[in-house]
Amino acid sequence: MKKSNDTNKLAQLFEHFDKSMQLKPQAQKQQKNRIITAVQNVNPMKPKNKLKISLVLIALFLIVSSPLYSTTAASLIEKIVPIKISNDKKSRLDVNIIKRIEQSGYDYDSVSITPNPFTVDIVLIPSNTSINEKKEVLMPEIREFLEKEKINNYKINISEYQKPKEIDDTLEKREINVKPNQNVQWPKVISNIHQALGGKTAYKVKGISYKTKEYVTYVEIKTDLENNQDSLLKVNAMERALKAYFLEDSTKKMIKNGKYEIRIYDNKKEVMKIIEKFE
Amino acid sequence: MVKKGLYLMNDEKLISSWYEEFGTSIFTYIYMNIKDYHLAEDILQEVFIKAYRNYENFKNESSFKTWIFAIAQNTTIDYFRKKNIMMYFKELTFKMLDTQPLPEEIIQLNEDEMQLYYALQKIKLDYRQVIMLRKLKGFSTKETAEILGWTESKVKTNLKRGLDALKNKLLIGGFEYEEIQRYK
Repeated sequence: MKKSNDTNKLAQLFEHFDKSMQLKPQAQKQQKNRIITAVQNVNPMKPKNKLKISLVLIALFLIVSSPLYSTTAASLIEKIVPIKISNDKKSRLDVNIIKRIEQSGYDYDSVSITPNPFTVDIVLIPSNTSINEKKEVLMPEIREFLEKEKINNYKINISEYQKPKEIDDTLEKREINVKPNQNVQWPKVISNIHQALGGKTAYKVKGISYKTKEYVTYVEIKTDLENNQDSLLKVNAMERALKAYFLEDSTKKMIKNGKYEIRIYDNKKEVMKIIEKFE
Repeated sequence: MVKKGLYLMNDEKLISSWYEEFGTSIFTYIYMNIKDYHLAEDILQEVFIKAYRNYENFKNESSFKTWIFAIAQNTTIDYFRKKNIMMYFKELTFKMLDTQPLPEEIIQLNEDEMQLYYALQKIKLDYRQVIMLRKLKGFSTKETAEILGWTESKVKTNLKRGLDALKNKLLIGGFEYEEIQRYK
């Protein structure tokens, strides 16, 4: 028999072999369930993984602090910053900061978080303790908390409540100029997204804005990311976090299961990703 | 924090889709390498955990299938390195396979396919892997090189030698090429 014919026949046998070499449906089902259970058990990380992670973090620290430190290493650190967007009040940054202020024994007037740059503004009620002393206590507390939340690019302003000055009419008018048909829950949603993305250098979020037009809410996430493979990974991570967040029942309720389109832009204002729901 | 249940529900869909598309194919690749059903299942599970944990690092430079097969390849090799049982692996390859039946979880193969199965077990590991990836799993030379960590030239050379070795084993095993005509 000619060699070429043998090869053709063997090729056919190969093709049939891979199709035939299958698991029985029941075995497949069991295998799939087993894998899903195993993956569930690694999310969140098991304690046994924490040691490995600690070692990795120590290794990363050594890299960063060594003369061999490179932008590649910096990029690797940036990639591992997690994003979790949530409506859970307990995880809100401002709520947690308030808790720390109260635990330190101080009264506050307001705590707010503003974007670009990511800024925590704390206004305390004056007391016998000086503002400098309060700052000395609160600053490390809040820094520790923010860093625990993987927020690495932020400002903290701590001041004391002062009697309000005359209100700037122009500013007041601008602030109350809210569009009539806006869904009141969208600001909360945007705030939650911002809290999860802001202050993390990896994602380079410059600002998040939204507008509602003809029953569709358009969200724009502007970043300083360059359009390259590295950024694509980060945008994919953002996409996954956003999709997970918008699948939450509480989020659906907040936006009244409305239609939306989220666009993530790069540093040249080109669209890198569109996440939409028009159903 | 995102609620655990919900977060996992989305991930479950992701893992489920991976399994449905590639699970059995990866499993049979691992199984054909190590010839131990339960061990192959453990390694497959590890492959999915690694893929899940590292999915953010998947750069789309290769196809997802190539990427996850590369994880499967490395996990299988790592397993043997860790257990230091490469010798066992070699002995298993050459001594134990002629008579060992397929596990009951795998759909039974016909006679020709069984001959191919046994012949594949009798050739060198490098040959078997390159034949499985190129001829059974449908990867290109470049993709196979990525999975095995070889050069494309090494893939081509090993494939040619591997196919020759396989044909010899098939002939020794009494396999007649004419019998394959019925598949036409």
